Amino acid sequence: MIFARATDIPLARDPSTRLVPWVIGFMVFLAILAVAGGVTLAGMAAGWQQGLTGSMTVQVPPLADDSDEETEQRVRQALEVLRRTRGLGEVNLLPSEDMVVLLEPWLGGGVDPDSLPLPRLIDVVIDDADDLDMDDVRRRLAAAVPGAALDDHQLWRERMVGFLELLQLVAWSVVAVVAACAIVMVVFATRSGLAAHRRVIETLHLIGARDGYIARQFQLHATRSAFKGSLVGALFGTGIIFGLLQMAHAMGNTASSLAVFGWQQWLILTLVPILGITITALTARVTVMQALSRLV
Amino acid sequence: MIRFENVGMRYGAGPEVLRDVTFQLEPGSFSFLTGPSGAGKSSLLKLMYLAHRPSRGLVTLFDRDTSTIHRKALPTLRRKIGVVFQDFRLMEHMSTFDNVALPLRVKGVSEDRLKKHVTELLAWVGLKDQINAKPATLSGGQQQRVSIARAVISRPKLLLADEPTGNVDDEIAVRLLYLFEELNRMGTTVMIATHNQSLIDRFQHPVFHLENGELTALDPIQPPQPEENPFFVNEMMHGREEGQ
Ligand SMILES: Nc1ncnc2c1ncn2[C@@H]1O[C@H](COP(=O)(O)OP(=O)(O)OP(=O)(O)O)[C@@H](O)[C@H]1O
Ligand SMILES: [Mg+2]
Repeated sequence: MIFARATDIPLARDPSTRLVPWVIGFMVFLAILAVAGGVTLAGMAAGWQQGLTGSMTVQVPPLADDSDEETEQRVRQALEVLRRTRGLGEVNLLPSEDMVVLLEPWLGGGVDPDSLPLPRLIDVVIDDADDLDMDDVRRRLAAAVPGAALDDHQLWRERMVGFLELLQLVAWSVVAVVAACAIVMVVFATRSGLAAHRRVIETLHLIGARDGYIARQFQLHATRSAFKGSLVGALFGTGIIFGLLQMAHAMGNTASSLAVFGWQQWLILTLVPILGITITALTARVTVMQALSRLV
Repeated sequence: MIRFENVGMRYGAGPEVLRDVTFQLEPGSFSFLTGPSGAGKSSLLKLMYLAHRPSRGLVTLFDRDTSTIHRKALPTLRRKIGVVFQDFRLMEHMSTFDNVALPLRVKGVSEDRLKKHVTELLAWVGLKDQINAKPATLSGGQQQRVSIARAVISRPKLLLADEPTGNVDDEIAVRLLYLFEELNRMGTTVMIATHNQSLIDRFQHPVFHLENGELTALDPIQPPQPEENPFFVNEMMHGREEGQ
């Protein structure tokens, strides 16, 4: 019924308004990509902030008068403490040979690891940051293994978070620009529709139609156009995001960036076309009401 | 019902096309408006159906000074006025039915209620077979009848018809005039702008004569004698009344 009534003004035949679904579709597509980028970056930044992502390193330096066995003992104790800590996943001692490989650029090849007082490094994967109490780990580690140092990459993390926040700002700016473009475009399309149907609108007025009745026709038409466009744009947009996630999974990049793309993120993405339709309809209505209020 | 006092009107910055027009229409009256082409008949009607504002003088409509009417109040007033436009102003993309139904839809009348009225009225004006036709496929006279049907469908308090019989033969013209008279009998104030002298002679109603923007003479013809019309207008209009 509502749709049958929408034909009081033949908007569907306008060449200018026929472009609207395409443009809205493209805008929704862009917005989805940008929003997906934004929420991923937000999740990553939050993860980094809590130390959720990645790992920590524990250094166990050999003490000056320690024998190798004593050092091994200290390393075993450190491993023990770490393995009994809630929230931590894999705890791995880096083999001395690997250390040599890591140091090769500085020390040159063929160095005997035993001839150097190299600290032993333990790589710790953080499993669940919420369960992890960093201060507690630090305290217990210091008690069990004096001299052991825990590096949770604080400085590196802060820089990373700052960088991610900057990228997020870029993503949200893209979303804002896309929304602004869509609004401007809908305003122009609506105005051209108003101009093209001046006479019909005038006749409707003379017959006793209220501005709201006329605005409703534009609003309905805009909603339908936006619905068509948004649907296609959203399908393509989410399709690409889905593809990217699959690709990232295939590359084994599951732990860090992808853990942050859950159902909440998908929900936010579905809001994009809904918002697109709402903004389009409202813009059309406001444009018409404003233009009509300037008529006699 | 309507009062004009020293009304002047101009289009934009152009010359005055109406000058010092003063007259009054009593509620329930029926009158003709004549005058040569370009005299200002359509312009005068535009002032009455609130499509234009006077450049000077006072226009009172339904006891309201039109210059003080707020934009928001216009639709309500316009719904009390039925207009047959000289150039029809039909919606080209709409069928005959939808064109005639428009004033009711705009008012929010439900579809099943308006369907009966519209079909009946279209039968009366002889457009039963053109109910789904678009204006472009109709003859001039048929389009005119669509526009008349649209003007009377909501039983306006004031009916303004601008050359409503310009495109139809005399028989249909007379028939349409009976429709207007029937509406008038039920209380609608009617004013018809026309060149058709034989209609004016046949239907004895007061005549306003416009000449070069000025109202020159008020025809001293007495109000109409109630005369039974030979068509079934009564039946049709009263039938509609019961339907409401
Ligand atoms: N929209 C307009 N803009 C400017 N001038 C107009 C407009 N409409 C009418 N006029 C002028 O106003 C004058 C009166 O025109 P109007 O249409 O009222 O005459 P009319 O009596 O209805 O003539 P006709 O019998 O041919 O319909 C004419 O000189 C015409 O040129
Ligand atoms: Mg005229």
